[in-house]
Amino acid sequence: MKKLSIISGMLLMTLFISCSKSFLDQVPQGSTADNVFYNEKGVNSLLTGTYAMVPGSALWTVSWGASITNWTYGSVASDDAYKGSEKTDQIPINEIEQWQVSTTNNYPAEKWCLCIGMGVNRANITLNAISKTTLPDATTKELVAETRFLRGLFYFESWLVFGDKIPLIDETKIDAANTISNDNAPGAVLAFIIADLTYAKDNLPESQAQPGRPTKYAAMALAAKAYMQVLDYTNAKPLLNAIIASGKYSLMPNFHDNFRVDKNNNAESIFEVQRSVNDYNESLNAEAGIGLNAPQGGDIGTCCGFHCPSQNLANAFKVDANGLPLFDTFNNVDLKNDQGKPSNEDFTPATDALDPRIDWTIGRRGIPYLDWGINRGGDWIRNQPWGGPYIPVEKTFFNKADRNTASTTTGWQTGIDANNIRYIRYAHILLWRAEIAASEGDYPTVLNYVNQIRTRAGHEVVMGKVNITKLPPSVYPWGNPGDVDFTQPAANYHIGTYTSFASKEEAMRAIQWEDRLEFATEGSRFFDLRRWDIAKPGSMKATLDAFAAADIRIRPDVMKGAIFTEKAKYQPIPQTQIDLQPDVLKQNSGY
Amino acid sequence: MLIFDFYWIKFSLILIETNLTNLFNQKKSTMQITTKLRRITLFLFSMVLSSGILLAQERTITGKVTAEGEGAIPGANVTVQGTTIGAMTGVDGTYSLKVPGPTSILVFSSVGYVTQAITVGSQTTINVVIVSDVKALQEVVVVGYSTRLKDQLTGAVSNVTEKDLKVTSAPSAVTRLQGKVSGVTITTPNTPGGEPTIRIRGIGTINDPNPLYVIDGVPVGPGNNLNPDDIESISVLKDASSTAIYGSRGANGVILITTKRGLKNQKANVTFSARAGIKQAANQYSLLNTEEYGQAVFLYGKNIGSASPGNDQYGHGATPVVPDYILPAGAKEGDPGTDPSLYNYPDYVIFKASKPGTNWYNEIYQNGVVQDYSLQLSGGGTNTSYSFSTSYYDEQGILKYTDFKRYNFRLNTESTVTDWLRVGQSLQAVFIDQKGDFGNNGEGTPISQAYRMQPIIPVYDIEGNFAGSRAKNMGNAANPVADLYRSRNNDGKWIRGLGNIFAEATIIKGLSVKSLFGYNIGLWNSKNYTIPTYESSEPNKINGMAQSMNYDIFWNWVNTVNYNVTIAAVHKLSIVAGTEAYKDSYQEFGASRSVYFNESPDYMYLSSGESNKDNYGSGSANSMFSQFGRVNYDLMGKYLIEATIRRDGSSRFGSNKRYGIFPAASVAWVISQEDFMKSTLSWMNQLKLRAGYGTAGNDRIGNYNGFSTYATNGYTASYDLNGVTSGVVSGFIPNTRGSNDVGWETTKTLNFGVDSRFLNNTLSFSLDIWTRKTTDMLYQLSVPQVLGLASPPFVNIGDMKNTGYDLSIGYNNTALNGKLTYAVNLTGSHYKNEVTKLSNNPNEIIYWNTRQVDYTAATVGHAFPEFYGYKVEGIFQTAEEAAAAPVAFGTTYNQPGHFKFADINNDNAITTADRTFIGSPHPKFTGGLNIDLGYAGFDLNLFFYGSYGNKLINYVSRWIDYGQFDGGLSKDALYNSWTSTNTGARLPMYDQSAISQYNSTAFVEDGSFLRLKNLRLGYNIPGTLLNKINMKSIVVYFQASNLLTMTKYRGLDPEYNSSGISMGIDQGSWPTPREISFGIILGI
Repeated sequence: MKKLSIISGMLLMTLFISCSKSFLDQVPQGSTADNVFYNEKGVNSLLTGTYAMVPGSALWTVSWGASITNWTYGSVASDDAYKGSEKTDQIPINEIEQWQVSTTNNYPAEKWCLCIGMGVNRANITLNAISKTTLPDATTKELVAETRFLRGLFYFESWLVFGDKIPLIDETKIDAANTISNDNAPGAVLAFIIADLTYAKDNLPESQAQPGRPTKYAAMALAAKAYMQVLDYTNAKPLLNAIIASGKYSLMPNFHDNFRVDKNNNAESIFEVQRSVNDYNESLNAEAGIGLNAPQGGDIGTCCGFHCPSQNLANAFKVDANGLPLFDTFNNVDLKNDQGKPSNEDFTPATDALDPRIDWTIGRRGIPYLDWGINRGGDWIRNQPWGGPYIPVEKTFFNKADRNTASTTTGWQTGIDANNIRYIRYAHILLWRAEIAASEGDYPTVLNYVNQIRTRAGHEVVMGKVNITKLPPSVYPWGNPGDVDFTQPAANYHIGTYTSFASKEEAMRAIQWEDRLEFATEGSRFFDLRRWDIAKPGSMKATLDAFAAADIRIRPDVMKGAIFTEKAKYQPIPQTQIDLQPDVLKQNSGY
Repeated sequence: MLIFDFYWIKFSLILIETNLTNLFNQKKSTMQITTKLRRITLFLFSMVLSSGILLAQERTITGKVTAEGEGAIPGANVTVQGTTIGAMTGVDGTYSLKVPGPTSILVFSSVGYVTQAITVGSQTTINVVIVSDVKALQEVVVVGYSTRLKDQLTGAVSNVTEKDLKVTSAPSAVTRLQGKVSGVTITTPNTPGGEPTIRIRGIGTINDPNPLYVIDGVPVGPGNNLNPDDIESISVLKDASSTAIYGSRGANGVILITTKRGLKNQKANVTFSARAGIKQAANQYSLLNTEEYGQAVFLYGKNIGSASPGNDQYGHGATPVVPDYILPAGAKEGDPGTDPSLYNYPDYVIFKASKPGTNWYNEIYQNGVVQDYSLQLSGGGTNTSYSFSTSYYDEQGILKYTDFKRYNFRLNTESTVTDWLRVGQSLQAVFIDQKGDFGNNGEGTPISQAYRMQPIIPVYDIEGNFAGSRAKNMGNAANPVADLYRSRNNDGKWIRGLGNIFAEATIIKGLSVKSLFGYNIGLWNSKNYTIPTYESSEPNKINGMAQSMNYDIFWNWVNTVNYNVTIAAVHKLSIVAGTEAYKDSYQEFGASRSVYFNESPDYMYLSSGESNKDNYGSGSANSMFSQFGRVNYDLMGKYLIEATIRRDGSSRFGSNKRYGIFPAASVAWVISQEDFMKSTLSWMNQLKLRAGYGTAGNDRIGNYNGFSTYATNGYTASYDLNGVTSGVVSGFIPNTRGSNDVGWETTKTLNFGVDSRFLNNTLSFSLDIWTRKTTDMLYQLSVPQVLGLASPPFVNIGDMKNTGYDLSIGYNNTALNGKLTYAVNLTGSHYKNEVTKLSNNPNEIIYWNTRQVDYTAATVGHAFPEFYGYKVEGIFQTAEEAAAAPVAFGTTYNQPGHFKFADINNDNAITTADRTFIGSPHPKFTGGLNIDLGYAGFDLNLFFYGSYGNKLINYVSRWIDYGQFDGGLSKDALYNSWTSTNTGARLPMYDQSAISQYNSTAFVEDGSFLRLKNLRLGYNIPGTLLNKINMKSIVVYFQASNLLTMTKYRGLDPEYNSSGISMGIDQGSWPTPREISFGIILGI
């Protein structure tokens, strides 16, 4: 009986212990609720989380399609570059390259997701947290200014890609964001961006201790860039003037300084996207959105052979006897290339006079490729019939000497490096200001700024004349002594300055050409063509259709039949989002 | 809460007592009954205590135990009731034992016979004729928290015993259920020791549709832990009237595994079994050899209109020329670049061309040796029984350098402490040690790299280092032999302790209380090495090592009251009531470093790594408290009624919806027992109709659905504000959004069943027809991205419906005067799945894509999932035909040799809006057929398994038929693709067009198959011989699996493991191996 009582007691104990209420209360491990952020450290943490979206990739939530470099929408979609790689790799980019993007294409969807879904949302969450936190007024203003700069940046990036059909969500509408229509009045998006950037301009300091944070001038430069998209020269001009007048920025001595890890955050930089490698595995803090854009093949062997410069771009670097571009004839004949020519056959690079920036931009066969050795052509290209004769752009690539320090060592995207993306540099400011001057007929200003750029371009050229025409396999990387003469330029470089312009059109043409060469493959070409089309309707289509028609000389089946249409000026609003907000979001016209 | 539960247990007691009251037909108060119960118990205690004292009048009784028509029964137990005194009959059936006195009662028992009790009185010789017990031969089926005789079942429960599990050789016991239980679909991954995917009656939810597994009362993961030889039986609870007792975890069915226990009064039984054999891959893709590949390269060039078809390896001449070397590209013998003195690994390497062509499958496949040893020992004394087993299983995979070893130990004991108290325990320890790359069903795994490699690439370069895609035009595949070799030291070690302890007290006859504490503790440790892959076009040039560990601690405590009573021989009442609490907690951490001075596994420990020092860690927990009860009433064995209820409180659900109640009821009518059916008894032994309805739930939505959280993250929340190029500042980001208004999803099943036996029980037939509706299905609602990317909570919003039937037919008989025994058992299952609601948006659709192409989708009105894509109407033959067709994707795709896609929405353009549902991965019917033959000591088992009506997406075809990346190509890509002279080809023009690769009916293939899964031939050494060598039994056998497959599917294997939204997408899987083995089982 005693035992029975023990058993009964045991049973009752069980019931008692088991049902104590706390037994069913399990709280998340390793994360926190939002109420811990209402202090300076907390809001700074949320702000840093917002910065994390600046580069444009948040692997593996969203990836290559979200890159802030816009290498797909701004470069591959233009006459600057090809998709590269192989025909069937990343097939959404084929649609972008051929101007036939489906509404279900996941690349623009990634841009949407990152900029609007993550970037804007995080900025708004940060702003709300700041508003709930009591801090010294100056601190609050600085925090708000940085956050609004970032929100302005995310909206600007979305606007570039999608145009005006983006929902404008501020921090007061964070929970009702799904009810905000994207059918904006003309100019509303620009006004929203400018409002954020104006606040940022008024409250950001002139310089920052941490180079990743924006300054007053970064806000002004971004606002100017936004105005330039609609050719609003009136509003852009004072901003550009102020930046130039500040004296805080100057052109770096050499063009290539803008693409070197050791020259990150230099005197020419107005806003840079910071990249960090080897902090964690796979270097995902290094803007992995361009993780596919390194050469694949041969002894370079990184990943994955995307974003190859076009033949049209190579042709654009040809110059006349005065070292000035061949505006009208540049694409009639292709600059000599090795398309279809095996790497072990004789090849002599073109002897044409060329703008020296070509070999800091395009990897051509028979020219030294940074410090990696003589460019071997096809052996270093993943699939030449599809990707063309040029190696993925040198601007984003790193020196071999930096391969274990400034580039990623783990994972499979081993071409990612710590070379910051110069989002806006002083050269942009000068050329935008020159463009405004051209529109005003102010030729001295145009000559001043354009020639500054061209003069700088001649300061440092790629050195190393390759004296051999057949590359023995043993010459990795530089062959026998004497095979490369490092006292000589690698090619026939010639760059001249302009002396005068006969007309506004001539001045504008020179500036536009300069824009293309200076910023080639940096993701702005498509958007530049689009904004210039405002002043000269039809010019964008004419340029791109001519490019496609001539490109069949290099790649017979890529651009065959491709016609640029008005709708292709903007990417489609992601169908998945329209499906989720069916009566709220409208599709861009033409899709 | 305390008060509630106190009342609740009181309520249970009242329930029991009320029933007692009614049955005894006494109108006493419950208090009086309780008092009476106590008195009875007290009396029983006194009896127990005094039994030892009553030793007077001792004398010896002798006798013989025989059975009708069988003669002497050896090994029968003779015990004095209420004492520990007992004896066992000898080979001649005789016994002798001392009894305390004339009032002693002798109990004669033997397995399979009716137990008899005889009062000694004045006798000194007692001979007994015992009769075989038909009931005892009936299967006892384990149901939740209790057992039932099979004939008493009212729900849809299938039972498989040791015997059925023995005939096949899969390492996972649960895999062995395939084809033996109706209503259950099982697929296996074919990796060594691989876990099967099990679906009971289709897919009840878009969430985790795995059934609940319970081993000896302890909920655990799938059955890989167990040595199949340890299993006594497996019950599969299929309908909600059976699973409701498991409440919020029972909706996807329950698999109850019972392990073997010893029998009391049994001499030690020792069984040793050993089996050894080999496993081989039976299939490979039919791929081009080197010379043919060159032709394909030229065909591609011609098809795209290239001015100079070919490439730098095969040249650009009139026809392809196979080079002598591929690195340097296209080099011939004598080329200065091929001079071996230049070789300088890894900077300058030289690859010869593999001229006949490397068969990458031959290179990665091996004959895997399988060894399986098991030792079992069981027996028992008067009060204690035990069962001990240990086993070792070692399986080498069909891919090189893969191996799985499993060591099992099990000890089950049980003791009768007093006649009212029984205590026992189970303890299982498992150690698993696996090595190698088990990657499966993905394009980056070795099995897939084998089709992605071009044939011209040799396995090794001229110096014996690995060769690969680094040579020009070789695509981006990785050398699969190198992958496997470099992963040979990747290991996973798993230690698991699992078991329970219990005590069961019998309070009065038929009434017992049981308390069981179960535990399941697992530790996992794995190491993965990264070794540089210089030979690849996308090389990894830095070595590294990552290690991860986790633990999972689970316990449950179950307290049950069981009451079984038979009144007036016709009313049988069986009641179970109880409580269960469990808690499961998990923690993990991992770390990795790169740059190791030395690549030996002896050196590569985390501390020796020099760079990229990375680590992570996380944890989670969940708990549940439940109460449950079940009443089963059996009137005259004709009318059976069962009612179940369970109330669960779960930590996983929002505080507003924490508790839920799951009721169920079922009835059965054994028509054959009715008087009016007497005339049919001559040929129909049993006819039973069953009907049941009930609810069960599913709570698998992660542990913290109710919480909105923020988290830091080294990648997505961090930024290099300081511009230091290697190092970031950490921030915080919104992580999850919670909802407190979320409860479990509920599945309601309606089940009708028929069980019948005919012709002297030789023919049996059983059929269940069911419909299963899931409501409040938990769905992670797609949230517009404008609201942020914090993962949204699961909400109760979806509905799903499954209907189907489960069928089993068996026939067993003897012939040739009993010398030949034979049995044929057929099981068949059919289900139809339909999503009836996903969200409040009727157009909500979930897609699954890979390589930027959507392959499956799920939406209302379709199964979860179905294939989604374009309909191909043929291949354009002429330019006119192509020009007349709707423009495809705004491009110039429409041309001779390309697909003609159907314009589904008739808008005269092919766009993504023309996609539609193009096939279902769900089989219309799956079935198993077992044939057993026995003759003169030989037994033969044949097991066929088949699936009918399911489609597969041959994703591998996108690579090898259409040229996704420059990898290996199928013979069809060259010989059966469209050209102007081969217009009837299966494939479109080989030009690697991305549009041709969009998912379409061209990739949907019939996945039906019929397979001879298993053949086993055994021989039992005859008893005469055994007696000479003093052995109980010896069985030797030969076993072969996967001997014959009939299918139209073009991939490696139609029977492969996939589930969830990507079901039916064959991305390159380990094919079902053919295994041939020999074994011996010794009984000592």
